[in-house]
Amino acid sequence: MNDDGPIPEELIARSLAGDEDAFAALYGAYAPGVYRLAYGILLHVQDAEEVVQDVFVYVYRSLARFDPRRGAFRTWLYTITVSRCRNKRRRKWLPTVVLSHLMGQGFEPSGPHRETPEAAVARQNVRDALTDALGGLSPRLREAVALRYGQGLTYREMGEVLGCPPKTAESRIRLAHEALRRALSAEGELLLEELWGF
Amino acid sequence: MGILNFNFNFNFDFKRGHVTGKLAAYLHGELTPAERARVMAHLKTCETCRAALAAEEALAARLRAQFSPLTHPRPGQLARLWPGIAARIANTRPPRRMRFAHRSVFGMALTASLLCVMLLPLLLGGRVPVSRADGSATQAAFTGPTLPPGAATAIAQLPGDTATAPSTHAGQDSPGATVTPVPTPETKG
Repeated sequence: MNDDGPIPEELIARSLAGDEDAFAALYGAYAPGVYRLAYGILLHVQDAEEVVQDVFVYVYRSLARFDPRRGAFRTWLYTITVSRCRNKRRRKWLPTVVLSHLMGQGFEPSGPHRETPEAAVARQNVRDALTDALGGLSPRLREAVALRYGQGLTYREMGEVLGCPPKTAESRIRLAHEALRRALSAEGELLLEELWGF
Repeated sequence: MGILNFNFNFNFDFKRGHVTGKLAAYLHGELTPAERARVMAHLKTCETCRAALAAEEALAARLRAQFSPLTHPRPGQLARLWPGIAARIANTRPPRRMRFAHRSVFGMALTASLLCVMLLPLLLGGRVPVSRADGSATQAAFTGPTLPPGAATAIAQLPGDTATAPSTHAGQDSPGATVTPVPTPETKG
């Protein structure tokens, strides 16, 4: 089962009856998506982990409020996640995380085997540039990018999660594209300048 | 890299019919058929928007390829979080639906008890106000508020509420008189 699958009605029903094993299964199915979304918004490992914990404790306590007629379980879960990320952001100024720090801690997925050092550095630079560009987005735009490119949600689904009309979701994606393009172009030009300097 | 060499102002106005503001939605397949047709027709004739589309495609491809791997949890990371969640759940109350059910039962029992306490004086001490056949009302030993003359008759004559009193009541008040009791639990019993 994955987070794109059908609503796990049975798991929800068993969890409501107090079956912690069923809730553990629910966690196993949906935690990766929640973490990816939280990390995509916060760009901070520890904060994302705390959000995952908070989200699932809240979900356990509030599972009875979930109404499948009003929307998909995943949408409900991501709405809670975005809300928790906003709370986390309010309490703590968002730090900029350089990807190389994460790689030093082993958080980065391993690259292709037999990668040359030059290729590894180039790949790291490209990802660092993207992370920096994402970090420069406003929180609202980063939420939109995380939902679209991290979760593959449609504009309508994004609107449900973010509490805005689909047109607003579309607008945020467009603005995020513009900002990312500017940031990445600037970084690219800087890299080119450095290369010419050599 | 296409996006690096592309220097284009995406904020220009739409007076010339440019569709740059719709290109992200176009790439994501989020336009209506009419909008899509308009964008495609414009792209056929506009070099500027075609260049903008190429830049959009490059950025979208990069985000699709690199965003998701960037956010993947490392192996074992989420499993490490579960014990903390389980501990917090263990210390919490059961899911709300069960608590709600318990609360409902408790609430209904409490309401029923209160109603019984409130109605007990009426059930035990109240007398039945009756109206005689000649229209005069009698409220002997009625502990509630005094009804105005004729009110008991009016209440008694509500549709479906009129009944012939048992002969024992009729005999106590006025032998042979027809009485119309106000429906109370006592009279129904």
